[in-house]
Amino acid sequence: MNAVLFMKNISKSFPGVKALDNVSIDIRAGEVHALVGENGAGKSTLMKILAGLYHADSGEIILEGKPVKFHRTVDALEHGVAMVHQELMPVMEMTVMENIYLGREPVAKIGGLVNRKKMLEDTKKLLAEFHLEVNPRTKMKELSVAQMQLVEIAKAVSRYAKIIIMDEPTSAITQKESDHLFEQIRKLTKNGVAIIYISHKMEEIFDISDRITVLRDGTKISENRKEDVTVNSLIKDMVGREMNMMFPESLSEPGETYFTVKNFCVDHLLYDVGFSVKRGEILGIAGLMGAGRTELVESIFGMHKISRGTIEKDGKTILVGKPLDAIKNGIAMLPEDRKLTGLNLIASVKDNMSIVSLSDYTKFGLVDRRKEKNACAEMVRKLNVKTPGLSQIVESLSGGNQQKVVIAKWLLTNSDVIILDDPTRGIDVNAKYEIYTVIRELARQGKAIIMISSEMPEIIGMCDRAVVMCEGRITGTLNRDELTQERIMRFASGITQ
Amino acid sequence: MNNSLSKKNTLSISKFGIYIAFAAVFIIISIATPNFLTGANMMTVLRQISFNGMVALGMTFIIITGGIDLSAGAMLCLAGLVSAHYSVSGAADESPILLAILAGVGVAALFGLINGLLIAKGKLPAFIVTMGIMTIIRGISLVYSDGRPITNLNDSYKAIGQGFVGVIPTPVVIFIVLIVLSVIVLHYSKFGRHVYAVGGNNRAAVAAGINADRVRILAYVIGGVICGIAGVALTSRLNAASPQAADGYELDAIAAAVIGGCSLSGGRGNVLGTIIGALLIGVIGNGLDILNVSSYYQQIVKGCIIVIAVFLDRKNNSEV
Repeated sequence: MNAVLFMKNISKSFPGVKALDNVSIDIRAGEVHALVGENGAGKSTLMKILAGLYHADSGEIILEGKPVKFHRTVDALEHGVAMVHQELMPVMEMTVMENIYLGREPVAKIGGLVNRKKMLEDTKKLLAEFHLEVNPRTKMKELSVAQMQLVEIAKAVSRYAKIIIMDEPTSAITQKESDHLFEQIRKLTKNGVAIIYISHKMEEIFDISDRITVLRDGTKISENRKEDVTVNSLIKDMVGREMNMMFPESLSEPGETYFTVKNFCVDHLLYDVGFSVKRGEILGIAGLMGAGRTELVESIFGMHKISRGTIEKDGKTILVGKPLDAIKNGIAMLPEDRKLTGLNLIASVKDNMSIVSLSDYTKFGLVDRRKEKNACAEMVRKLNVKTPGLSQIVESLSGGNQQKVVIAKWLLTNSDVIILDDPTRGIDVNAKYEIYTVIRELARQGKAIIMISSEMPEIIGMCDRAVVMCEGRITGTLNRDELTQERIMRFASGITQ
Repeated sequence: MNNSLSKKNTLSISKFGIYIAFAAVFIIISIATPNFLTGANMMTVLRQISFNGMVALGMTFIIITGGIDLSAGAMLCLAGLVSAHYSVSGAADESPILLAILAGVGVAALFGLINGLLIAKGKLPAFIVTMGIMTIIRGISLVYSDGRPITNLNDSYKAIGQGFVGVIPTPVVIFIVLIVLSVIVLHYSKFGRHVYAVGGNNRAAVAAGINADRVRILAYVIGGVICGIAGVALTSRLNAASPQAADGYELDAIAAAVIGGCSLSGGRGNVLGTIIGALLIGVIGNGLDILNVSSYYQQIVKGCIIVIAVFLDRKNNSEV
């Protein structure tokens, strides 16, 4: 079979990271080509280059024998390459038909007005092909996620796309809906359309794909026909990197059980999740993106309404309805996205550090600035925060130092249950090591630590025990001596036996 | 690296720009007009800007939380009418002056509370809410006064706006007291930190255990109280309360705050900047008065200053 598309020697760097290093793939007409790998392996980056969202630093794209350059998404679309994004981007307030024909509305010959009648007829025909029983005049926001997904695919088809990229299309839809999606995919490939399929779910990869390419750390590891691989060989390819990162020695032995979460349920996000942490223990929460890890810890911290669930600390049930309740009960949480929920970027290092513990320096409503300054300066020293001064605006610090400011903020509260949501995300190796050291020290002090991480070596190197999540459930618990990347990956992919 | 350096430079220029601009304007007007830089005129300027300055102080709190209050002028007007109502001389039993003041301030505080509740608890956009409240208060003012000004105020009430403490006019003294209080609350209290935290990043503030709704509501109440005080002082100064009074004061206050470095997207601003902003607007107005520039042209000048200030604000934010 002939390839319709070659991506040759594609490299792409972001500040501080080499996202793609000399990656080449070929896509054949009528095939489903699965692209798999860990979080951050470079799958999405590669596809965004193909769709014209990013520009490669080097390498070339050859489409139907001709080299092409996509500067914008429109260029890619005009050449028949369409991408259905993981986070869908429809205009929610517009109707289904307006979304499908957005930017290329059929126009009446005279007057230049939109020919709504033609738009309606065309949309009806298109939706009928997909057996999608949706009124073209319904607003996009009234559709289910799966329906939106299918509308997006229909939109791609209506553009006569030859290559459709699907980035984790089933991450938010039910089994039945994904069966329906696969039916459409098979129909498309029969007509010669090539599908590039990004997914973390092993089962569906083996169900739908013809060939499977594995990326790891920005390089291509393997490319095989489905028949030539097994789940195990694929997982090995995905995680098989050397443990090249150093972790500080453990300083503590876990004590008695201190913090327990039971039967946590959040509608459509978490299903009966529970675990417990001991004093001085570092409990890892592993899983792939979208497994519900962040939702779980945010719920514990009172940021989401739970439909069921209890928290016990030191043998007593505590009620957490909002973050303030959690803080009062000695729970701290370093959020996943420091810019979104961790920091006031336009405020100073000091103001960020002291905001939670302000009461400790406040008398009669007034802040004792010297006391506050001393406490913050101490933290800057202890955590080795590289900043010109306490009044430096946090925005101008590097990612690692920003993260240290967030850590300092919570250390100043003297909480004894510390939740860390991906504490080393986007941070350079040195700062990572320093943060690991801080975490070890906290465990030594007898604090109970819950640490989410997307990097499996980090879970293995740091945690005394780990629970693994998949699709809102805990699929496995692994003790320190059982922690291997293969086991974590199996649980994370929802393989429970 | 280069990028962050140039960012810092533009930031510091616009940070000190307002002081430089004020100094330049001050010197130019001093040279251009002989009557500007005299003790008497300085006191006049200060008294003129006191009223706008007070409203701008309250506006500073509100804008730093990421909000805005378009009903400030209307609040000021209603507070004046209510307090005037209680202090008309020759009434059968002359009410104590304190009651007149409290009634005026109280009614403005109440509307500040309503603004805050609708915005924080009702999750409604501040612009729309306060615009609606502005219209409502203007209507109430007309109904309350039957469309006519309230005049003939008693003497002790008149002293609030027309008196002097030493050589300093009473409204200026009130303004200075409010400045000191604002500095303490905004820059030295825990609540002040929360104001910045909520405006800078609401999600992070909530995650840090701050009751963001309460902070917002309190900011609007503070704005209301200050408008009430300004309303009483202005009514006393003019010796009359009119249902049309203080028209457009909210815009001058917003302008002063923004010129002084408040960011309309929240989290930035300070009391000193706002005061300089109010001074700049006042000094330019006074200078143009002395130069006999028609008030029609003055409006054009004021408008230009506001646009330039907002332009700087936007430039600042887009570069960060």
